Amino acid sequence: MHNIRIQLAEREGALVRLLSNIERRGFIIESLHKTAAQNGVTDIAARITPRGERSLDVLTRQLSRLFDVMDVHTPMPAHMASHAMPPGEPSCRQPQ
Amino acid sequence: MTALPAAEIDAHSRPLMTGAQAVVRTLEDLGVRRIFGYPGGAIMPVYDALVGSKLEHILVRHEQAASFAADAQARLTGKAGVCLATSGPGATNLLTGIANAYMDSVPMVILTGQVPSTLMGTDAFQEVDVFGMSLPVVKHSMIVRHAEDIPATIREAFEIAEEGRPGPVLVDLPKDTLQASMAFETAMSAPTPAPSRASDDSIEEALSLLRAARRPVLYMGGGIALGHAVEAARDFMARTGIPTVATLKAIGCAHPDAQNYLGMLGMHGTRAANMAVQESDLLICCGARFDDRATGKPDQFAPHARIIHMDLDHAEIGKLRGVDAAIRGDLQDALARLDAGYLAIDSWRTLCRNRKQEFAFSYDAPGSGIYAPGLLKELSETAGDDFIAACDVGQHQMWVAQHCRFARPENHLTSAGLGAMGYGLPAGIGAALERPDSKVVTVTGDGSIMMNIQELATARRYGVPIRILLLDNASLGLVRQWQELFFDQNFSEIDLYDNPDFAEVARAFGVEAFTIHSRDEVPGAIQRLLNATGPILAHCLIDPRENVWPLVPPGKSNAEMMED
Repeated sequence: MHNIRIQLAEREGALVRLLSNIERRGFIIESLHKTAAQNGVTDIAARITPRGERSLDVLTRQLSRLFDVMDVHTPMPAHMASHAMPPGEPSCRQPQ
Repeated sequence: MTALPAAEIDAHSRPLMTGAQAVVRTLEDLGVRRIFGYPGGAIMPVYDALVGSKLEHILVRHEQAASFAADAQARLTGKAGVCLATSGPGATNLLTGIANAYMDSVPMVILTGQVPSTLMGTDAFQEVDVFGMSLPVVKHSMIVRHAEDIPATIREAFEIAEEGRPGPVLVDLPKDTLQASMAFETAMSAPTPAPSRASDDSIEEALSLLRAARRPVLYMGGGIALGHAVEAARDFMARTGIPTVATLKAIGCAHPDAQNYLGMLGMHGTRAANMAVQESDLLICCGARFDDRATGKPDQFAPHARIIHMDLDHAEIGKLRGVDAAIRGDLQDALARLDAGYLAIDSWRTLCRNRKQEFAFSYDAPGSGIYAPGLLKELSETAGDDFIAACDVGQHQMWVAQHCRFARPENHLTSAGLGAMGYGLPAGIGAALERPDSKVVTVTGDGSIMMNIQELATARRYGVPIRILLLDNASLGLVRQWQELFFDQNFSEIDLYDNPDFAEVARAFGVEAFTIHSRDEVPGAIQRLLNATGPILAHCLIDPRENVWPLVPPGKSNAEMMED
């Protein structure tokens, strides 16, 4: 289970685009909280679990590139945030 | 509807016009010359405004073809292609083409009509939620809610489609916004952000890996062409003398005669390319994404290699393979800075080159029937550097990738990520309209051409100089090949014995056509195709038993290539 916080521009479709991306990339949304928008920005906090063996680090970057997403924050151990993984080790098989 | 006279102005001297006129005016202001589309109820105000505009509208005969043709134009120009359709079925018919552009990172702007805002969400006639349906296959999408937002929304759609890693952007246009009157104001362009530049540390890290490597390989992907880094990649190859392989999308990035270029890797890659990757101790993945068709079984792909991954899109790094050095940023800049000099890897370089010679394709197939790989090789070499192929999907697509010579990556139009049958004919039309003086050839099969055969009418209407090479094996050849090899020859629904006479079909559309059966007819057919000035179809009957070799079986390592 991971905690993830996302700052999102409050635009039509932004929320559904974000949530569908989290699910499509292989994560289950266990719980979800959304604040009312302030100055056009809303905060999303979610607890998510990978459906298989998926990297949270990669998901974070996949969400970051969405046009409506302004910031993604995942409090996670530094070694998981790093790009350095053992040679030959597919990241999707990274131990949880 | 009746268009408002554009000469009317408001108190601030802004011209008054309809939302639909603003759509057309904005496209003109953005320098769009050609759009592909098909009219219908909700988009009719835009079609009304198109009359007398500077835009060239190409009327296709199925909306899917509009998206494929716009895709091909975008691949050739690097600028967003534009397609236009109505709501409901018009929009759903575009989806395959949108997905195709998304999978191959092609810049495209899709304009869809929508039922009036007040009816949205009521299951109105020809209403579908195309915004929702297209979410997983667009880079971004917007619904216009107010007519005055149209110029800025469309301008933003182009900016998003073309910046960074390109992709399709959909703009849904409810009919009431198209019909409303508005004061037109030219939307200002945001300054295009410069592509991010890789950090010095990451370049240094990569350089130290490169200097220490004894068996390095450059693995080129489609990002090189998208990032305008073809010359930089060729310079890097020449400077370092590094053995190089390419994905399907990167074919043409290396100069076709480059000594150290080993060809395509992966499922239908060359033995020299796959062996080099499998034995490498350092793999420089440049603008590629470790797609399963390139890697085979992922945990056995380049098992001894350390990985340098270069990509503009951070999200690709570490997605499927852990990396030892990540270069995140503009590829052209990064390749230029990766200055390791000529690598002292003589024995490795020689081994790779020798294998390239040893396992080179041979074209001395027995018999007198048409040998498709040989035909394609001869066709591309005869056409020269102006050769542009628009492929469909199947065996012929792989033969083009293996046997044709491409001077530039954008000259090889292929549905790589999506693998969408039906791409070839509309893509060829889009390409030939954009490059009428090039030798544009649609290479298709008897399965694929039937997916968009109605576009012969488009080719005929506009006199498009497209050459269609139809390789007819009276079957769905690639599926048949897999059933033969991996499903115990249990042939299921692949027999197209009752195909129509394709030459007759083409002639019925008013397209010149001829049929050939034997190898001695090939040189004449190539000349006839290349000398044509309008649409022409060569119907080539080939051996249905011919397979694509070599082949890495699904789920196997690239080291386990099957040969004929």
